[in-house]
Amino acid sequence: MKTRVAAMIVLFAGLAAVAWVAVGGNDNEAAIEKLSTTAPSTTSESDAVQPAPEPTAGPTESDPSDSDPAESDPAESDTATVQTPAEAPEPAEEDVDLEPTATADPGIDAPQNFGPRMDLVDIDGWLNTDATSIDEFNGQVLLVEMWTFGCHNCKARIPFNQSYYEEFADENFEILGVHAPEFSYEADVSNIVAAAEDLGVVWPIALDPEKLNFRAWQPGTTSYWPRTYVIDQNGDIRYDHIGEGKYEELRETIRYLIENPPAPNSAS
Amino acid sequence: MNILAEGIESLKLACSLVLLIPALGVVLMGRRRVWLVPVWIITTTLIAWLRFTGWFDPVASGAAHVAAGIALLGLAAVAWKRDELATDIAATGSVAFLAGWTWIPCVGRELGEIVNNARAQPWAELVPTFFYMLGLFIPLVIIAALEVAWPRFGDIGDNPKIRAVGLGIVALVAGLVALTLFDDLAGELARRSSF
Repeated sequence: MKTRVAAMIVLFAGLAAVAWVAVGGNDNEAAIEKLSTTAPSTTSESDAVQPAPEPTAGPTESDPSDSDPAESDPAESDTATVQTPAEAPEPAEEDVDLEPTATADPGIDAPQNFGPRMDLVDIDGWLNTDATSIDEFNGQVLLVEMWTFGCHNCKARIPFNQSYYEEFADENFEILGVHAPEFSYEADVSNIVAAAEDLGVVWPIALDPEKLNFRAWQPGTTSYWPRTYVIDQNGDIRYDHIGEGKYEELRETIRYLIENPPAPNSAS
Repeated sequence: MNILAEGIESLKLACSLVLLIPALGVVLMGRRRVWLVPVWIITTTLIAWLRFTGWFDPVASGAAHVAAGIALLGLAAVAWKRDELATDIAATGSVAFLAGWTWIPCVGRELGEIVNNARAQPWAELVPTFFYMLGLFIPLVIIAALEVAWPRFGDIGDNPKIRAVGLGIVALVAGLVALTLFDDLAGELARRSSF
């Protein structure tokens, strides 16, 4: 009898958990909604810069062409603290010979350098671009994303990528999606083209139907969808994240690299 | 709690079919042996966690697939013939190992936290991995609880035809793994179900 009671408790707990999720237990949708209300528009809103951080607000656009250093938006990071330029930390060692860029968030450290990116080999084709090699994006801040259009979590990242694409449209920034299909129907180019159009993926896509690059860029044999890298102007990996999330960290990394380009690498 | 929710959410992901299809097979084949459910969940948890940490990351080559598929077919046949808890547990653990090994996860926010941190803090990510798997396999938990709480439901599982369906699924998985075609089956199911 006790066993049956315990089983009933487990049963109801399980059903309750499923119901809880079904009615919105996962907060991912809320996160996307937050993005849609806070994503930067392409029109300048730098006049609306607030003097104090707004923990619940996302970034507002700060047009580097006309913004004053003192007006850089401290609300761009949830963890940002208000600092005057005089309080700002010294630039990272690799950047000391560069002109300090006034709009850089003084609270953000230089992103870790994971070393040179790998090449993209045996690409089956390119969409949304005339490029035929990843080398043609050298010198830009490049967001590389391993994805496939049938992957739920990859699709969840797309609105965020769109916001970066809009926000940094006039900067030295590009996105490159490496499409690595999980299933055979995702390898069909016409399906990829249709999905890219439906999903609003307007940035360059490299087709990796055999997942050669998908696996080569991910150490070991455990590979994940999605996986996001940011490559700096020297071709070094400066950001590496598996899965959804960390969108603000990614935005700050892109902004940092745009505003604080590394010293040219003599080897490159 | 969020990791459990994300595990439940992942039920609707095509990437999860590689784990869910064989799980359904072993549960149907195992009848009322509810212990198979924790064996399944714990085995897949351990394999996934070991892969996340990088401690277990061997190449799943074609030869390994063929060997694993054939071994699995043999094990399923023995489990069917002997119809004992021990052989069912061995078959369940083996299928779970294989499924966890070949699984390529689609990574959400919470699972992302695990896989991004697992190499630096392996032990801290073991329990969250378990809760993710618990959420993902919550249908198995519900079926097992139903079998115990409602004996008439368990009687359905005793039907030899149901058990044969379970064996058929396991045999199909084993055969497709051996032929390295299991991903194609999952993909076709995903496409037809409009994931």
